[in-house]
Order: sequence, then C-alpha cells, then structure tokens
Amino acid sequence: MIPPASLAVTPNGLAAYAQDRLSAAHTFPRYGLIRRDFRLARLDMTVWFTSGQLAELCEAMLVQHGSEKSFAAAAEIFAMDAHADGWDMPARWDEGAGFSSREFERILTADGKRGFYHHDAPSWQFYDPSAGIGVHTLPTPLDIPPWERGSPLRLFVHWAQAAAGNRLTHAATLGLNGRGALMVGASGSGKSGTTLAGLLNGLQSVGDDYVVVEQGANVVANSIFRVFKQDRDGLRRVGVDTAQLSDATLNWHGKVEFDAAKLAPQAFVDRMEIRALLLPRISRARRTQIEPATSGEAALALAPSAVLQLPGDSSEGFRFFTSLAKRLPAFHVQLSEDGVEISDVIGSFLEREAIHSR
Amino acid sequence: MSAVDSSSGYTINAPDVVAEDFNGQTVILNLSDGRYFNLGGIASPIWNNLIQGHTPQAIFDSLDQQRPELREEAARFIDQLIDLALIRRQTEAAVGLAAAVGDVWSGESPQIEIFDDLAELIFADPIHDVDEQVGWPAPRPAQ
Repeated sequence: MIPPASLAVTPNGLAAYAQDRLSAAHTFPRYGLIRRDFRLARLDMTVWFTSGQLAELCEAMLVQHGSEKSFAAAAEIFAMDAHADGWDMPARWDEGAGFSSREFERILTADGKRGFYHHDAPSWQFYDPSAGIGVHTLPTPLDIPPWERGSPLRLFVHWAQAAAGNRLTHAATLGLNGRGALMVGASGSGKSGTTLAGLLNGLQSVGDDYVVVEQGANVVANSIFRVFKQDRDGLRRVGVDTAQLSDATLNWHGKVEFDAAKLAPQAFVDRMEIRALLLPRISRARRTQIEPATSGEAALALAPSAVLQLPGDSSEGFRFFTSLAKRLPAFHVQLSEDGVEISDVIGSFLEREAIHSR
Repeated sequence: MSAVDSSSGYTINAPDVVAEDFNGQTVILNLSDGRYFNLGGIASPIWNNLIQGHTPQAIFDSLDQQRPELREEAARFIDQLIDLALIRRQTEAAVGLAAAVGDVWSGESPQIEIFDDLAELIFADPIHDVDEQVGWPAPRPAQ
C-alpha cells in the first residue's frame, strides 16, 4: 500500500511529521504491543514492538549487560509497523524536494530531534533526546534497512548514547585480560579479519564493527551487537569452515554473519579498557609490523568515518573522536597474511602496552 | 582571480565545518559534503591564524618578513580554503597578527590533502558495508 501523495513529507513538514509520529507512538494503546527491556551497554532501553518478529531479531542481535546495576541513561522506543491496527503507513519523502542528509539533520536538530529516512521501505526513525523517546515507523515488521539486520536499533542506541555523553563507535576491538585497543580505519583495512583471527587465537573482543565507547577516567569499550561479519575467503583464511557456524546467515552484501560468542565463548567479552588506537592496513607483509602513528593520523582514520556513519550529533561526535585520538597512543599495523602471527604480534603488543601504561 | 579579500577577517564555516589541531597538524571535516582534509606544512599555522581572526594581509606581511618565498603559495592556499567553503568572511573586525606568532612559519610550503571517500554517505542513504575489492562505500544492491 502506498500512502497518498498528500502524505509526502517535505523539508518544511519534516519537523511536524517527526513530532506527530513520536506523539502517536507514545499515546498508542500499550495492550496491543510487545514489551522488551534491554539492558544495553550503559543504557536501559525499553522497546515496544507491534511485531514479535522484530522483537526476536533484537533479542538475538543485541548484547545485554545483565550483571550491571541500573544505568543512568534510559530510552523508550516504539517499533511500529503498518500491519498493526491503528498505525499508519509511513509517509514518503517528497522526492521532488530533493534530499540532503545534512539538511535533514539540520531541520530535525533545530527542533531538538534526531532522525533517519530509509527511502526504499519507506521507513522513518525519529528520536527526541530530551524526552528519551523514539519511534521507528515501518510498512511491515521487518522492513528495517538491510544493513541493520545485524545491528537493529542501531540509530536509537547511537542517539541515546550520544545524549549520555558516550558514542556508538565504528571500530573493532582486540584485547588481553580486559585491556585492549580500538582498531579504526576505512572498511576494507582489515579490522574484521584481524578481530576474527585474534578471537580464535587467544585474544578478546567486544565487537568487530560497532562498540559503545565511554571516556571517563579511563576509556572503555562495551559490546553492543553480538554478530560479527566476514566473507567466506576471510573465514577460510583463519581456518573457519562455514559449516561450523550453525547459526550463520548471509547478509545483504553476501557476507557471513555469525554469533561471535558461540564461535569463541571465552573471547567475546562485555567490556574492555582501551589503551591504544590501532590503524590496521592489509599490506601482506612477511611479518606484522606495529609502528607509532601521530594523533592526527589516528583522527583522520577514526573521526570522519565514525561521524558520517551515523546521522545526528555530528559536531559533538567530531569532538568526541578527536579527543579520543589525542588521549590514546596510536599505531600503524601493517598486517601479514597469517592470522596466527598477526594475533601473536598484537597480543605481545597489548601486553607491553598494558604494562607501560599502568 | 583571487577570491581572497586580504583585509577581511575570515572564520571557520561553522556549523558545517569542524576542525581540530594536533600539534601542528590540522584535521578538518566538512559535514555538508563529507569531504575531510589534512593540513601540512605551514597550512596549519595559516589556518589557525585565519580562524583566530588575523587577516590574510597580516599573514602575508609576516611571511614577507620571514619566508617571502612562501607568500604566493600561502595566497593560493587561502584561495583554496574559500573555494572549498571551509572558511567564510566574517563581519567582525579582524585583529592584527601578533608578532609573537611569527616563528610559526618554520615549516614547509602549505599542503592540503583532500579525502572524498566518504562523501557519498552525505547524498544517499547511509550505506553500511564493504567489499574489499570494490572499496568503500559499496553501492546498494537493486531492491
């Protein structure tokens, strides 16, 4: 069902549409909804679903931090699809008006909101950080953006964490005994493959794509999504047969998604103190080399990508990530092709770094 | 012809442009088009002086005294900052360049590295995935 043309949202009507959907969700009768309480990293998130399917997906993909005490930050999200009685089909963006994600962000930020529009579904995600309330309005239960199948509620986590002073961060992690490094850089630089090799060879990780970073007395990275991604060749390089991964699925881009905690139960941990930034590069070197990088190089590898990956709170994100680059020592990592050797070299490095920064 | 008004003050083109100095290396991100920049050589001190309110003329005068061979390149660099919409003219009165900052001109000629590998994120749906062969971002598959 396509909404009538009169429901097309223009730049002028965007703030009003966001407020309308947030209000409609908040006043929607709760008895018809499915409630799930997620204890995420530093964030208590209550989600009301119209669909059990999306609730199951979120339960499968999100890492819950059950042993923690109640967190200061909280958010209430409504995941509503038009199959539910009383919930309208999402409107379409007025294509005649053009679309700029920066302009979209500017309009909503001026009204104290955050948001995202997925053209294909169409679907909308709106969040009011002052109230801690969000709505995801969908045509059908699982019409979330395909790249969010492995990271559902990603944007609400981002906006709620940003409001709390933390950041959902596009980075991978490797550690040893609870202390480790963030691996940053453009996709294709070897972050995920290095993380997987480390997991299988005695190192720990809290994530290979997104983690929640806090900057307090220490820098801490927290797990948020339990699914790791790798292409079949990458899995083969580290000796993993996809047949071993009973719950693996292919994502929209043909990569294998699998539960890291099932592949390496002791290695996937909730939290990790971060002592360094690593800038990996697939160089096919004979031996993996680790050399100092400048804080400016670390900022170039981390900040633009981390800021532009996630809509909203962009200036604050730039300050957060450049501050992180100034605070932590950074190192280039020229990767060999041998996963065991890479893990040994990074493991030894982390051991030294933990001792030196004590 | 140069777009620089030498006697005007210039300021960072906020809120679309954000920048940070790292011990003489400046990293700039333009949030409106997704391009980001790395300033090297004396580009960073020129940038810092401009956004502190010093006029291009004050910078040229200081360079004339200490590094006259870099003046033309400095002018071209400021032109480039305007073309890239990283700075804009400000209405407030500009301040004169303090003599004490003269020793900043000890670096190489101004350099600006321009990165546009993330620019596509600004104009389309955020595209989140990679193909190591294709690079990043990968285009969305047909729906």
